[in-house]
Amino acid sequence: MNVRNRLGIPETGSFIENYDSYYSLVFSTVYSKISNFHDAEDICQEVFIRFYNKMDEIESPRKWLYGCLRNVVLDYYKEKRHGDIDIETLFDDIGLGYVNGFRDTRMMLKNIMDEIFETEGDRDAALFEMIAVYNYSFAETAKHLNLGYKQTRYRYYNMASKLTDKLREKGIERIEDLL
Amino acid sequence: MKEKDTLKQVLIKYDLTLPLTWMEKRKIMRAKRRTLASILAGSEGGRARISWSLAFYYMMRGMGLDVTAASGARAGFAAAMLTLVVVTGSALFIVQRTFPMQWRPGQVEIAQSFGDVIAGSGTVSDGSGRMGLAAGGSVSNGGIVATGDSSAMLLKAGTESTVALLHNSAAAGNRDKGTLRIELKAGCVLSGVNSPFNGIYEVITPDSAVRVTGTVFSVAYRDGSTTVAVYRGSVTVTHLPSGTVYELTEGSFIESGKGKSSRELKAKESDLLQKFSSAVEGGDGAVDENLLKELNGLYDEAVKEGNTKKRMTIDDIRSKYGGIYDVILYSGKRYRGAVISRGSVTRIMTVNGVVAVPSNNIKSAIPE
Repeated sequence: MNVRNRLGIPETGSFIENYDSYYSLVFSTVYSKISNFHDAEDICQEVFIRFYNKMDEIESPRKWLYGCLRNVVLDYYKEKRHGDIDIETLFDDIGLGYVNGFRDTRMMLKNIMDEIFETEGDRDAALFEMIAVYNYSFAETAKHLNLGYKQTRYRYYNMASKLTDKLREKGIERIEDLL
Repeated sequence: MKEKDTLKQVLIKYDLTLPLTWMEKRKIMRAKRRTLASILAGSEGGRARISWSLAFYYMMRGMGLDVTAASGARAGFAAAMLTLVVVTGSALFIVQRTFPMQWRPGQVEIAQSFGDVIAGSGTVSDGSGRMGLAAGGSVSNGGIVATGDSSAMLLKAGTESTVALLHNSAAAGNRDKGTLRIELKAGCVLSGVNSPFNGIYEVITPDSAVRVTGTVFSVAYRDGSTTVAVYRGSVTVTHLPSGTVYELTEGSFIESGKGKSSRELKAKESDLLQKFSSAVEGGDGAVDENLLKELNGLYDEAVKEGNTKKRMTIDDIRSKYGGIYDVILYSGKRYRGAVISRGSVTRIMTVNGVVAVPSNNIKSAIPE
């Protein structure tokens, strides 16, 4: 239960901390799928309301939020009468539609990223994803996540070095070799 | 190429990025704030309150403080109260400056008055025009109180001071919080101020300001000159045109701005203030009309006494100046007294006063 004070404000800061850490990532993900800003905002609100109500039972916020947003996005498409859309196609298109002949490398990179996200903390994963995937700068990420600039940069490079380590394990000595 | 850029290039090459524009990221930031307020407000309403709290929450987080949303709410509430106080205070200040405080009845209560006392002679400040004042009436802030030839008035200002306005006097009183200021335009006021006076008590004449913290004293303004007599306590007299400040102690008298040092009170001046002091310190506020007449009489006598120069005897002159000369002029005229200055003009102190004689008219000056 979220304890509320006399002003009606939740006493616990954990919801806001999680919200700060994941909102921009969730929004960016939703927006990249549906390309409608207002709908993306509504979907994010719905996702975080559900998160707020279940917060005490959730162990991995990032995973939970991703799962939830898939459902909410699916509901959104149903409501918009795009019921024929395949949710797997929408979210797991890693093996589809790739045209330049490097499908295996692409899938390897995606898997490595997923592995790192699995092993490292949720928040570092979110931070890395925002910078690497959604093209946020360090300063923008720091602002969105309520972090310091140096802290943001350090955590990103930490994740990036883990990624290069994983690539080495796969026989790729330098990341430039992938270019 | 930097490591970050290299990694990005790789992700771009393998189509693993979904870049957002600068504008989209800004919109997301705004949506983030909006949505959080909506979620927290929920069905209970109070979204504005939540938004206000969150603004403070983020501000405090930005300052490196470890806060919760509730702390933000409390900070927001405190800031709102502070803002309210500052805005209200500023508004009151501006209104007060723009529209000066009007008279509030009962600020200066008249304990006793008699005769043809007139207030607001020509310069009515309370808007009620010229009217007679009697015991039980009140004088407005800034209202000019005047007394006639045979009248006087005793004013009680709060519980801490009593003011007697003697005959042929005019004064305006202003009382604001701890400040009681009397502008004496003509005549004489006697002031009895409890010691210590909790605030500023000041009598201002056209050329002087007399400030006190607790005393019995008189201020008179006659023939363009201010005189101050202190019966008890001490006052500061500032001669406004020159800025000269005099510290006047108990039992002393000064004529402000005349460049003279203070002197002791004369008998009549002392009698006047003693009479006033004993009357106002009676405590019950009841004053016999005869007392006011008596004060008027004593004041006139004090003025006469002040105007009357006491003549010195030849012995007084001898003892003061150390010797007596017999000064003979070519014209045959003789003066007996002390030579007090020499030069082109010689001044001689005689029993009839100071005589100035051109030095080349003097035939001889023979010491006795």
